[in-house]
Amino acid sequence: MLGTGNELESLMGELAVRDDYDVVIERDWARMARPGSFFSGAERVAIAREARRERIGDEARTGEVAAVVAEAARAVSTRAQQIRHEWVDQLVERGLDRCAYVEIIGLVSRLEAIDGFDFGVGRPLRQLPAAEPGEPTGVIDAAASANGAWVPTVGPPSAPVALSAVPDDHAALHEIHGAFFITNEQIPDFGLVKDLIRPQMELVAARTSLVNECFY
Amino acid sequence: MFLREGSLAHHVPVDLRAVDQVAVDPLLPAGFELRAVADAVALWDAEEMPLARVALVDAVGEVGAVRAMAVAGNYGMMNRVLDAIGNPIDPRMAAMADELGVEYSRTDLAP
Repeated sequence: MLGTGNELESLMGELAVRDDYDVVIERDWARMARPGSFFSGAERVAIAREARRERIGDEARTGEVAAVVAEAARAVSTRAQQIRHEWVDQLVERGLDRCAYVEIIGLVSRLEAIDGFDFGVGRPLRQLPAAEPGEPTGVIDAAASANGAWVPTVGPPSAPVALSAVPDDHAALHEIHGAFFITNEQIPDFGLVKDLIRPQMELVAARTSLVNECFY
Repeated sequence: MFLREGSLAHHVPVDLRAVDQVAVDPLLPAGFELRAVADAVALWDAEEMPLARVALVDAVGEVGAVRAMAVAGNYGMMNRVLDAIGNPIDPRMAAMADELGVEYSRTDLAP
């Protein structure tokens, strides 16, 4: 039965979140603030700001990143399902490295996970972190190559290697995926119970993907 | 596919049509409530979210509700990643996309 009075008012507010979620979230927030492979900490935070603005329909650019970077961040944020390979090719022709595009995808998609989680549990969106100084590292996985996706991957493209061209973003994606949903090792375990039974989690996954018009 | 496998492993019924037909009972425990929070998170629906959250907590408890929010957030992430990198589409999934009316480019099909 639904609660009443103070109990209901309490439920309408913020849910209690275990520390294991917050540890991963705070680690990703710190990661966002540091230089990545292609972008400085300030640029990475600006990419997140562009993505958030796009989500609420604010067309005002931050002016803190190149136009092509802002466009990519905004597209991944709200219309990833409309992205086509010709559009990605145009980004590259305008000077955006394909692996830099991978870094943008990683930043914006993890922001979506964390913001979506905070929204779901009734928290306000957290303040973006203060950027740390430093230069981009330039690190990419030398084994990444064109394998049929629009970005290089290490091996045939699939969810587990989607961001593998940029090792930090690859690792970060897996960390969030494991904490929020299941680890790669848990994927074949259909009898899994992780606060919910596996089919309950899969219903949320399937419905979310349908609403997002994504059927991978 | 994973939804069906999970229901078999847990010996609970599921109606797969419930994924895209809101009038269909998912049959899973708390299926209606889970589907509602998935919608509210994916659509950033600030009006529906508090009600969906309360109903889900009532159905699965607070710990389970938090997990559902995390799964929804995770799939918001994964959907964007796979769409944005142009992960080649398995032709078997293309048939499902056609059935659901999901738009995609035929040139993006895996060989």
